[in-house]
Amino acid sequence: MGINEVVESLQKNKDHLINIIGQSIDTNYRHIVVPALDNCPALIVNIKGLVDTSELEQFIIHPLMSKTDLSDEGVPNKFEKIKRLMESRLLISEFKQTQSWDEICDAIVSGDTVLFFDDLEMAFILANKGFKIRSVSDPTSEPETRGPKDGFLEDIISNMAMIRRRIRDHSLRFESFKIGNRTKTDIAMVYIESIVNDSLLNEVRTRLNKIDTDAILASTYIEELIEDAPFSIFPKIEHTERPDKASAALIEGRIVILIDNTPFSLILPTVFWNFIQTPGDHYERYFIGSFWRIIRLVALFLAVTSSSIYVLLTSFHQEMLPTSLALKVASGRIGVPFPAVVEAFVMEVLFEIMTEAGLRMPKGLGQTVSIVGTLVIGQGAVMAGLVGPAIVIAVAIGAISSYTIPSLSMSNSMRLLKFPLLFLTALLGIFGFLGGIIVTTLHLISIRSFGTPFYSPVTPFDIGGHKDTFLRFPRWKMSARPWLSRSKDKKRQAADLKPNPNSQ
Amino acid sequence: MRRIFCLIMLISLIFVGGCWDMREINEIGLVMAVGIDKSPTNSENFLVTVQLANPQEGGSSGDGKKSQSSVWIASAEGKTIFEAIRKLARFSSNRIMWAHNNVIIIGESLAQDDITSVMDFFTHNYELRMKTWVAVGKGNASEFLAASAGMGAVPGQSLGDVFRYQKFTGLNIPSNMLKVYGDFNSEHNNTVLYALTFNEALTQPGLKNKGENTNEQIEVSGMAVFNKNRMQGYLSADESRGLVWVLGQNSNIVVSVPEPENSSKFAAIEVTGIKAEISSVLINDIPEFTVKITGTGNISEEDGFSDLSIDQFKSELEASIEQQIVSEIELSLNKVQKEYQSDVLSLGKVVHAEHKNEWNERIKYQWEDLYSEVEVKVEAKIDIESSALNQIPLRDYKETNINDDQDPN
Repeated sequence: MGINEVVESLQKNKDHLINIIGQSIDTNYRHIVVPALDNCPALIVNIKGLVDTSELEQFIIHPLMSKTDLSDEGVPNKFEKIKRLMESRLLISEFKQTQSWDEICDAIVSGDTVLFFDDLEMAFILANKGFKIRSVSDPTSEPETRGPKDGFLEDIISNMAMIRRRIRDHSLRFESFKIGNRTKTDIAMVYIESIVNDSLLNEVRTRLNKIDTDAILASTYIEELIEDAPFSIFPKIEHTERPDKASAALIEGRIVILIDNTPFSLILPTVFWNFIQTPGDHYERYFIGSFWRIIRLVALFLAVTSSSIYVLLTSFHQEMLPTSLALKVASGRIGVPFPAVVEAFVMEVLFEIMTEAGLRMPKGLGQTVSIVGTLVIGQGAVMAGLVGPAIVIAVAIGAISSYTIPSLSMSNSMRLLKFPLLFLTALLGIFGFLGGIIVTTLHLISIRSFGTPFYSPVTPFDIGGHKDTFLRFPRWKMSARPWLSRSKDKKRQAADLKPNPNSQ
Repeated sequence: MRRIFCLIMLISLIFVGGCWDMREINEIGLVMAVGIDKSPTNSENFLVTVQLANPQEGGSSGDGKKSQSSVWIASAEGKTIFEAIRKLARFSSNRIMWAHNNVIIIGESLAQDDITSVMDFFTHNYELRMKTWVAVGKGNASEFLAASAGMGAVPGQSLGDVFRYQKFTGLNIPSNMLKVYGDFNSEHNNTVLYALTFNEALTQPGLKNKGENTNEQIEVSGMAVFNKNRMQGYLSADESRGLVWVLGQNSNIVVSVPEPENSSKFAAIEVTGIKAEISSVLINDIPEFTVKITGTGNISEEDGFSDLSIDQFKSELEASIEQQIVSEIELSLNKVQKEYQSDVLSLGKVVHAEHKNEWNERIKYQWEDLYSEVEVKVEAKIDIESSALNQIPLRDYKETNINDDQDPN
């Protein structure tokens, strides 16, 4: 067509718009006549599902079409008159004028209403987005007994509000990006300017700006495009659907990335130990919080190693079992046709299949999985003599343990990791087992997440960081902000907060 | 290209081992006990008998069927112990594993001859643990492997437990491989091992119809005394008790002594915190020893009642305990010193430590002859805890006619 900007002719503008965004069934072109402007024709364009229709009728169309005259004293031209009309009549909070077709089209597809007047080289974008969003509900993937019950929604504006409600700091910033050439997804980089480390901020900003892709449909899209060590099996960016967790991260000087259309936000930088911590550790008393963390750490180890330890003890190092247990295990394995490693592998694979089936299966069929799982695979396989009873216990311990890890992405990594460890153990016994664990640990030590060593505060060692790593120290002990985010403002609270009878 | 090749070679290196050293737990025979004898046919050869655990199928579900025996016993002969053990593989379906072995039993005739090869084999093998119990069986070791002991399903295991709880009898000194190996290698010590016999009457005494329901039980009956590598003879349980006072560290021993004033009734005193001190003096270049036992007594049982004051009661009771201890030690010492010439108390070591020059110049060479002649004085000092004395024993009011106000206090 060749027009880059809005022209005077209403018809031409309409034709041009139809040319760009088409005449889909949900696109609404509404011609009106504005009596206040001497019956000047005008055109309202929007997308039906994305606008608040009643608001449009009551506060935009109704005032425009009312017959009350508008005084034209001191109005030099038509544009000024229209502007005065908009300012005085329209009952919406936000509007702006533009001439750029790009801006106009973006506004239409993101749910705003655009208003054209005949004989005017200008269009008005009126903000009246109004699509249906789910009401706030429990964060289902991260339940907490004593925490707040609200979870992030698919709508980025509500999510920003949830954070803003928790942190009223003046330097809380939501820096916006539009990523995805076709999806044009809204991304907000959230940080507290007076705390966050500047070079970290610049780094994240650079990495986000570098993304040149078609679509951002979920938080993982962003995660994979900006993370360090992309070949690593471990997640290096934490995700959460809890606004309280995101807020806590912001206070620590970390950065939260909110993505429109997904309730999952990203938190970075992240260290390995973040994945065994939950907000709940801070919502219970510190003894309990610390105890839970230790339990989770043990479970983390068991989730990876339980079946390998079984193979290690029954196929290589029987001397490490107590005599009675050795006899018990041996009697359970009489007549089992497979070596222990095959036994373990089969049971692990069956367990993974059951997990996947449980997730994919329609809810009504859920009972089938549990019956098949427990009876057929668990008890039946043992009764039939295909596997020994001890491996069922070992696999079950590993399975239960893997679900104690609060982060699903870390839990999945651990479940994947147990297979290579199982094979290494079967091949080389204790050397394979320890070798596998050592190589994994070395890998964890070698990688970074946005400049923060992934294994810190253990390696490199930082004593202050240990106040909130394996143990959760009392709140009055944590006077400094964690080292891992290298924040500008190190002081978190007064140093002498420990309550005692003498303090006033 | 080169890098990928190197990587493939490195990775395949892991697989080259191919489940190296892998053996399934149900395919190994766990040795529960082992017996070493001289071969009945050729006295140069060893007869090795092993007791392998035979795990029952479905042992966990407990379906009541006990058709198979819980152990499998096999023996083989060889010029060396190791050869004999390797020969077991001719008919054993399972590879033999030693790590869970509880007990090593040495046959009497082998013990009387030489136990060096036994000590060597069982300390050479890395699979064997130094916590294994070592004992001498009165008779053939193979017979003890076939017999049952204690209540456990696996005889070797329960025999190990019997040994483990021997310390409560106060009659024996624990003899596990670590201690025996130390004694065997030491310049001064002589070895003592548990001695085993059979005893039918010990268990299930109430059963009228014996025979079917009872079987012979292995009993720990004192100790076997060695001089260097040969067994010299046995100490009965009563005789070995004297050694426990001196050698049994951390043991607590129960002595029953007659009540003061009423010698037909007895009191049981548990002596704890026993310390033995041996010192020597040279008199005319001949060493003389003093063995001094100290300890704390606790009254556990008083069958009789006496009217003595606490102080009197305490001193009289202490005196009779001390006297009993001295006589027990003298009984043992007499036997090991005079009869077996075995320096189990390491008296030589005391002289070596206290009179180094004389030992190195002279006594060392004469010690074997001197030992059986040296004078050993035994002293004991037991302190009864006063708190125990305040409890008044139960009295039979119907028979004795003692007033309440005649309280011993």
